Amino acid sequence: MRLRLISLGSLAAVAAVWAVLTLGGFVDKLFLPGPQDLMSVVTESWQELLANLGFTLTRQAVGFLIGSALGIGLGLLMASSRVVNAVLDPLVELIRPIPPLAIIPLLILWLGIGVVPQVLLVVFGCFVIMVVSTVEAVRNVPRIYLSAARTLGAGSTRIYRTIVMPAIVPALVGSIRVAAAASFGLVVAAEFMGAQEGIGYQMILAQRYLRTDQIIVCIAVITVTAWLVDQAIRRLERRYTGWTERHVTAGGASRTRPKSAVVAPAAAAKENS
Amino acid sequence: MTHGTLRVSALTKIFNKGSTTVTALENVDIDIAEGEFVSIVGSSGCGKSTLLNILAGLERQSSGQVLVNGRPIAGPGPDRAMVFQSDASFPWLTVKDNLEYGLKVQGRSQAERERVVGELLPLLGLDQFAHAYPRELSGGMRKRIDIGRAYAVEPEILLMDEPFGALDVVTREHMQDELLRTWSARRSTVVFITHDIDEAIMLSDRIVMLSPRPGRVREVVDVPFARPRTPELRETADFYKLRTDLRRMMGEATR
Repeated sequence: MRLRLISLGSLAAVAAVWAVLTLGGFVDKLFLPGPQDLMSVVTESWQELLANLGFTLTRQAVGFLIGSALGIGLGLLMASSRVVNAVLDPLVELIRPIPPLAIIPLLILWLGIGVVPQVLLVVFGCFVIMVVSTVEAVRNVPRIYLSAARTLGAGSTRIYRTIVMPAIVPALVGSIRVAAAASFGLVVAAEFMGAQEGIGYQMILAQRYLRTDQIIVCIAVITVTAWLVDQAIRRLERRYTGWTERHVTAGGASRTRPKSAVVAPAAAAKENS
Repeated sequence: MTHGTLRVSALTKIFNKGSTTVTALENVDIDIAEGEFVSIVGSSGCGKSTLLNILAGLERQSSGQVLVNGRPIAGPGPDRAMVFQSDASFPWLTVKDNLEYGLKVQGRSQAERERVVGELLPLLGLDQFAHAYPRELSGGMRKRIDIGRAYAVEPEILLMDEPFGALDVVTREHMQDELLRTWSARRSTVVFITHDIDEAIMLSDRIVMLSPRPGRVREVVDVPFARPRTPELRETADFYKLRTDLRRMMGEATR
């Protein structure tokens, strides 16, 4: 509680310095606009902001979904067959270290300026994150689960479907959060390369007209959106991976399955008596 | 329910690790009768877990033979269900679904699965927790899921690899008593790995002692105590004497 107060205090201090510097006229509004400047941007152009956010979110969502689906699909395929893995692993290793932003010039050269290369950049970034983490997640499935299923008579197809697939879900959800966060950065960067609409486009425009206030509002809009999406994924995570150990320590367990979680310690105590 | 016989003859297992070879098991002969409870004891490094993995079909021997009901084994199968040392209950399945897993593999009807699980849950003392996930239960209760999951497929031979090794003393003894109780209702053949001599005496008809590096059968000891055995057996002088003898043997075997 005390530490939380301190944390709040440090935030308030920065806000206070910002307010004093801008409202007191110590810095040029062109360099750092004040709170009231940002507020007027929001009230004047919220419709434009929302429309642009719509374009950006569409690109981000399409790119993220296609890239993640491709990455997870290919990762599962690689993990299911040694031959497929032998074919694809060197290729994945080859593209894995490429910083996604570095391929922007290539995308423009190949596909020109338009929606397709913008979405492709997001696809590429999400694909690389998901393919690597899917292969890794499958490799990390505890061997004891596989052995247990085998001694109960399960064949490899069934083991893949009933053991590997559910066991990797928590790791995959973690990577999906990373990919979603990355996709927001990538989509804004993609829109810097000549988009005709979107938050990235609005920022480039604002930069051209020296509208620092608009740029900051755009940053805030995209940040809040990314945060909201992350929260939504975490909600889904809690619903579908409530069985994992870590939710017990995180305190999420009692929320997902209150009844049995309450009964269990009592029975455990009885067993030891 | 049919019970299995197990015949291990001249079993040898050699591991090749780079340029060095390690002989884990050498010329191991063990005969286990139908419905017999046999413990395999030995200090760490005597190859007892390797032996069990070979019996389960998870590993292959280098030479020698393993016959289950007179037939050589070809890979893992539910006729030799296994209970592992570490937690092997599937955390994403509820207790009920864990118990049903092997039955689903066998393609048993839902009515039959319900019947088997319905019998197992009270036997294991898990009837209140059918819909709980393993993480909500204590270590001892999770162990019961593993045991119940193996019981469910009605194995001819039940393989247990130090199943209570990770539990505290009180829970361990409680689980031993539970195992005796549930086993006496089914009487399948059991091969039980442990390094705990008290546990081996309490549970088994016969104790096979392995010596380490390479793993060889050092001694086979009959446990004379009548069944059903009660927890009080642990406090008797006869128990104490057998335990002292076995400890001495194990000390000599390790030397």
